[in-house]
Amino acid sequence: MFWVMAAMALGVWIGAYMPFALPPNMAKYISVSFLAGLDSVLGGTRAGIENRFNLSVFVSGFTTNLVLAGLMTYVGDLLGVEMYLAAVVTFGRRIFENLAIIRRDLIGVPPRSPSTLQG
Amino acid sequence: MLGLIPERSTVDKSSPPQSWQVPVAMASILMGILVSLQFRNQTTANKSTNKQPELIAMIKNLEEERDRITQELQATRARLSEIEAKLAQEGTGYGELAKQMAEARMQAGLMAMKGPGVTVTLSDSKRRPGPDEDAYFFIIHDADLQTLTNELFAAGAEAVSINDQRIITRSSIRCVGPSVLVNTVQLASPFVVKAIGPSKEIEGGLRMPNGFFDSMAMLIRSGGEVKITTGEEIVTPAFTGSMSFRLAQPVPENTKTGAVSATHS
Repeated sequence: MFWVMAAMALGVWIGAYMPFALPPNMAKYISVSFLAGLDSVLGGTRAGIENRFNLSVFVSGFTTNLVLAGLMTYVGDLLGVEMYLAAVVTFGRRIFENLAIIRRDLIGVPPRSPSTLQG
Repeated sequence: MLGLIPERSTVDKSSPPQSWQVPVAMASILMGILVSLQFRNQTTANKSTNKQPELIAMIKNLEEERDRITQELQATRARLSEIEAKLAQEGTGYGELAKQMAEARMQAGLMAMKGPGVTVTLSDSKRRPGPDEDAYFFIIHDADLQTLTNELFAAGAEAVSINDQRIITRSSIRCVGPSVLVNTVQLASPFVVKAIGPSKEIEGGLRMPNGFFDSMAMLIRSGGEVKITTGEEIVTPAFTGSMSFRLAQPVPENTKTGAVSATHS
């Protein structure tokens, strides 16, 4: 968990000194891919803590999440439907879920049920 | 709750990264870069919108100053003509000079003029363009006013003004956003173009086949208006802008022809 957070901080630092800026019309895509990526990172962290981490599952999940989220946003733009909201809601829910389980794993109290959201 | 914690977790914060932590950390570096780039994007977007009121205030200040200076200039010019008139009356030999001066100012467009002529009123369409209509044909453009003034002068107009902005040798007509700048003054529809001159010739020139009136057919079809009135006494105001020469210098009479062929050959 410590290394993951340190890596994220390093990424923020690198991004702050990047010589280029992203075009403003990419904002929707960036926020959706950030949520998708964060979901994968937290999922991977949880799997690692629970000693069932699998590299292939992690990498494939990371890439498909990003691609699917981006594709959904793009198709939504084409159709005029804010389809990226579906990705935001789904990934947001899963981020909270994973975070809750990681917290319990770290504290040492196993979750009451796999889908428990509250503490 | 804190008392219930049974033991420290298996992950020690200071231990070297475990095998699973390397790919996850790499992915999370990427996410960090993304979030920070996005953050920078948002802040720069906010900054540019925050500057707007400041710029608007600046423009307002400058416009007020411009109006004040324009008024001053008009007052000074009025006083100047008063003095000239006085000099001419006194008969001290300045009479001929004052007459020449008045003639020159008339030529330069620094005098309000009146006489018979034509008034052309151009208005934007009041209708909103439909889905398959081009918004371009719904409004008056700077090019339309340029064509019109060109046509007026070509047909013999002696003094032309657009919304009380006198057109002189150094006038400019250009487009700035939704309005038209004439002599650096912002004008908007409806445009009232007045021309002192031979009404019949001018109207004929405007209504010439493939002339100005025909070129406005799309506008008229889109709901815009082009109205030509003749036979009225018209007053065109004097030019109020600046007319100083900063770089241009007069060429002596005898070297005129030589200078033309020598430039930029």
